[in-house]
Order: sequence, then C-alpha cells, then structure tokens
Amino acid sequence: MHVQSVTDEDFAARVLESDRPVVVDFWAAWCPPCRLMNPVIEELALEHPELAFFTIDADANHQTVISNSVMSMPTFLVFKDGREVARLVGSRPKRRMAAELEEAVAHPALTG
Amino acid sequence: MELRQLEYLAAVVSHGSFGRAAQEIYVTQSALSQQISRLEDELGLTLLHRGPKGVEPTPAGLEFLNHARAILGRVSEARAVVDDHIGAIRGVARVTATAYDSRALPEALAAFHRAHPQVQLSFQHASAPQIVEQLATGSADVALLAVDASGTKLPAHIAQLTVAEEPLCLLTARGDPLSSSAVDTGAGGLTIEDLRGRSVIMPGRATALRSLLDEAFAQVGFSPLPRFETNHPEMIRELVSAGLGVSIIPRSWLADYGPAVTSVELSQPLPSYRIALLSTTQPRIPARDRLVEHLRIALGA
Repeated sequence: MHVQSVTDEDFAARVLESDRPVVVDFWAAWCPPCRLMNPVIEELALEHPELAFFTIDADANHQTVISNSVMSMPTFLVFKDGREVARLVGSRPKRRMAAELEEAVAHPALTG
Repeated sequence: MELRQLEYLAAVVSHGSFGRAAQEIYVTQSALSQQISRLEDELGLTLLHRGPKGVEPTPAGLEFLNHARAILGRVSEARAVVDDHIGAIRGVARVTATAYDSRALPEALAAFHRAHPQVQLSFQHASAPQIVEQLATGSADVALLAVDASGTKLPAHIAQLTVAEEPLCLLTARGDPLSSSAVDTGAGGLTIEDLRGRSVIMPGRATALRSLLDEAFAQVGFSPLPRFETNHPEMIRELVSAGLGVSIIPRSWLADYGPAVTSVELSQPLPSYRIALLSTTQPRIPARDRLVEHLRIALGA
C-alpha cells in the first residue's frame, strides 16, 4: 500500500473509522528529522499491508495537531478501532520503528 | 561640489531611499533631495534613478559614487589624524544589538558617555539580519550579536571579538514534574531528548539561539512545533512561567527580572551561546574605535 495524506477534513473518516490499524505520520516541511523518515515510512507501508499508513502536514492541519496534542515533529500515532494505542516521537531506525509498530498492534496500550 | 553633497549621495544609495537616508543623517528629506539635484545639475547628468522599487545609482552615478566614497574615507581619516593631535575624541558612534544580546549595554554605554561626552552615541534594537546589513552598509558602527557555530555570515571588513560565551539551561514552570524529577535525582539526567512531545517556547527565527536549538533538536531526531515564538527574552520567561511550555535559554538570562521559574542544568551540554562584539573597520573612526575598546573591557572580553 502507498502512503496517502489526510487532512483535518477526512481524519475522522479515514483514520478513526478505519477497519485496519492505522499509523499517522505528523510531519512538517521545515523539520529535518521528518525528511529522514519519509523513505522509512514508504518502505514500511509496502512491507506491512495489514496496517494503513497516512501522513498529515502539521502546518496545514492545526485542528488535528491540537486535538491529538502533538508537540514535536515527527510524531507517529498508531490508532486501533479509533483509539490511540501508541505514540512514537522523533526519528528512529527502520528496524526499531517496525518492532515498535508490531508491538503496538499486538499489545495495544491506550496512550492518548 | 561640496563634501556634504557626496555624503548625502552615499547615504541615499546605502539606504536605497531618500526618506531613510534623511532620517539616518539627521537632515530633512527636501534638503537632501535639493543638494543631490544641485550636484546632478553641476555635473550635467543623472546620478540616481528614482524607480518604483527605490533609488538606484545610474551607471555614471555608481562610478562617481566609488570616488565619492574614497574621498569621504580620506576626509574622515584626515579628521582622525587631527583629533589625535588635540587628544579629543568626538564624532558619532552608532550602536545596534538584538533584544537578546543588549542587556549589558546600557551601563557600558553610560560609562563611555561619561568618559567621552563629546561622542554622540546612538542605540537601536534590530534583528540579526538587519544588524549584519547595517554594518555592511555602514549605517551602524558597533554591534552586539550572538553568532552561531555554523558561522553567521559577516562581510570581510567587519571585525569580530567574542565577549561572552555561556552555557544554555532548561527553563520550566515552577512545579513542572520535569524539573522536579531532575532536582530529586540530583540535578542531572535531563537532556533535550526529555523534551520529546513537550511544548517548547522557541526563540524567534533568524536568531543564533534558534539556529543553535534547531540544530541540537534535529540531531536527537525531532523538532518542537514552534507554537510560541518570541524575540523578547522576558516574554520567553513569562510564557514558561504561565505554564505554556518549557524553554532553553543562556544561563545569564536567569538574573533578569521576571516571574518565578525553575532552571535545570542539562546533563549533556548544548553548544555554548556566544556573543560577539562586531564593528566596522573602514574608514578609521576614532569614536568607534574607542567605544569598541571600552566595550571590550566593560563586557569582559
């Protein structure tokens, strides 16, 4: 699956009401660590068809940033059944990211 | 041809406008414009092109200006030589600094003024890019400015002298669990990594402090969303005290007046905050040189 972008308008429909677990990448154009993570997210999306991957531009979608209390770029939120089950802040190697996502989906903990 | 006509011409070209040049050299705009017209009449050609985007020298004007600047430089040097003979320092010294870096200036300037009452001092707050521009165009003589490690770009004829170099510390509201935990565990263990997911009050863009923090955060893998940004040190403290976020400041700012906050040393120090005394070097201006020497001592370089 390819990574698609979401906005304030369709966040609820595409993320919160998704039938698969969702990873949302909050990013900003001015944030160097976000750029590092772009290819990582693209690859993880291809390797993990059981997860839906979305990106959201923090500068253009304040409502979603605020309602999810996102303070740092990049922030990756994992949602399952409309609830946040993991929050990963900052860039990280792909292998670690993959392990953390698998853990979050297998043993969801409410974090939000 | 009169010297002041050359001075006016140089000022208008430096500032790109009659209005700003008039303000800078303390004459009315009409006097300025009249003198330049007279000069153009006498030379029989147009020196300045008055376009919609401002004033620009014509090709002839530019060539004339190069000579005019050389003449003005020589005149100022001639004055300086004479002043040396009579032992007096007079003239103008124009000082500029950012709001972040000017805290030590008032006292130092006052002491200079007592010692050299003949020197006309002026001071202006400006942003870092404006300060570099003012020094480059010669509309300021001396500046205090934090310079970042990656090297704030300065023109070759600007002299630079480090006057302060100090550590950065973390600032939190009183009772913030972050600082309480650091204090409990013996004032340590906190790094900027602990600010992941926290609201961070950020220094304004185009400040050395901001570049320093941007770089430091990017290195540990995240960038705070700059929801609160300010160029005023007192505002950083007020925002932190009000509980809107934490911040990172040079340690000497803690001595400022302001609401109660808690400061914590970082266990992995960030690059230090370095303030430089910058000054123009050409032409030779005794008032400026004496002021630089005074500030160098007063500010502890």
